[in-house]
Amino acid sequence: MARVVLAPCFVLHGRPFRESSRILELLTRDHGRIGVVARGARRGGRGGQPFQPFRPLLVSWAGRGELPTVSGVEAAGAPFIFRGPRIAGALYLNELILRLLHRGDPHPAIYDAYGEALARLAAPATTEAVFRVYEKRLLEALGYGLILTHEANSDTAIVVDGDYRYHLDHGPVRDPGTGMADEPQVSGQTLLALQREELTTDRELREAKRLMRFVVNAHLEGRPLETRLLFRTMG
Amino acid sequence: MSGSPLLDRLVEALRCLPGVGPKSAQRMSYYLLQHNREGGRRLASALAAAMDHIGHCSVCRTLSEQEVCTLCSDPRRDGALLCVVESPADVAAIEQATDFRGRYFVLMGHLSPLDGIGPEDLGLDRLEARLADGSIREIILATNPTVEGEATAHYISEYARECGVRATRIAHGVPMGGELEYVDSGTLSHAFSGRQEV
Repeated sequence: MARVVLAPCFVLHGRPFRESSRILELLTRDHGRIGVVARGARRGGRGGQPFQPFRPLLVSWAGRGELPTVSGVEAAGAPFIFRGPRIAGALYLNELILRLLHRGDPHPAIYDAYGEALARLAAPATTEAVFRVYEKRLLEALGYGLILTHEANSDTAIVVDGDYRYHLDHGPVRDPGTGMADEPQVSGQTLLALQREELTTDRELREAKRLMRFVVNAHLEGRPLETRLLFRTMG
Repeated sequence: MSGSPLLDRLVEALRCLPGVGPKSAQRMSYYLLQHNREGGRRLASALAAAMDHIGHCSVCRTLSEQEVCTLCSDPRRDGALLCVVESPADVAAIEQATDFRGRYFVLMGHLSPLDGIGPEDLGLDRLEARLADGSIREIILATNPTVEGEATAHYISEYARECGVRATRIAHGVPMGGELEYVDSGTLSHAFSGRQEV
């Protein structure tokens, strides 16, 4: 990688580096997640600190190796502003990418899902469905997509009034009586609503949350998500 | 390499200061040795004393060599007003810029879940105990206007509400003497949504 000019991206996370610089994790549309060094970025100056999360940016960088250097930055739109408990929610979106997506693996679908999730989370009326749709799309793009339209190892379509158990590798299995105790039970209605990305009722939201938590946890290799702990305390 | 191991050690040691590279460290060392040995000795003893004796105030967590810092033990300050800041430098900035005469609580950082920094790392248990004992009337949340600072302010405000303590957040907007054209869009949209009656 030699030189990239004004790539659309979001800052996922930044940490201080040396005296006045920051190491940033960016989510770009075309280059995936990358780490860059922004020299002098902690000094701020008149324009304030441009490398804040949840703000669409155009960033240029150059250099070889693991951490290229930022050569320019421009705002690409109004920042999403979160208040109160939604800050923890927005940080959750970031942590999920940092944990599941490796550097240098481009997925425009993840970038789009992320941008859309931020916009929906910043809207006045929002529900936890934002997170479920985001998790579903993220896993799909990473190749861990859920099976939501047909039963495990068969062509039998999911029916609205059926009861299922979700097997991590195979998908929904009808006959909830058997199977592992930790496999979440989920109704056909919820599976289909998640497939359509239209979770509305309390039951759909509750079941989808358990289902996605089960699947996401399986991909986190045992280390819990820090933002979930914050969620618990921020309500 | 100077031919003097002690000098090399001094140069190396000075490099732990922010902004000091090998060249500046060398210049400082030669200056002290050639022109100002007395100043160098004073620096050495002040450094040693500060490093050995300055700890954290047991009430507000700011840097202090006493068990309770002078701001916390000053009887003229209003104990019912508590200002929460991220660092000791923020205390100094507020002291210089405002007529605030309440007390402080210094977090020595902010909540940053993505770095694994949670409430227990910021001494929030101690802050919560102070809020719960009923002596505080208002808590002023002066954490930085960053995502992490906002998260920290929100977290504390939730607890304050449970304890029936009024929580306020410092305003942020267009800087004094600034021009709207040059203010970044995030600050401007904050300033706009936080506009006030004149």
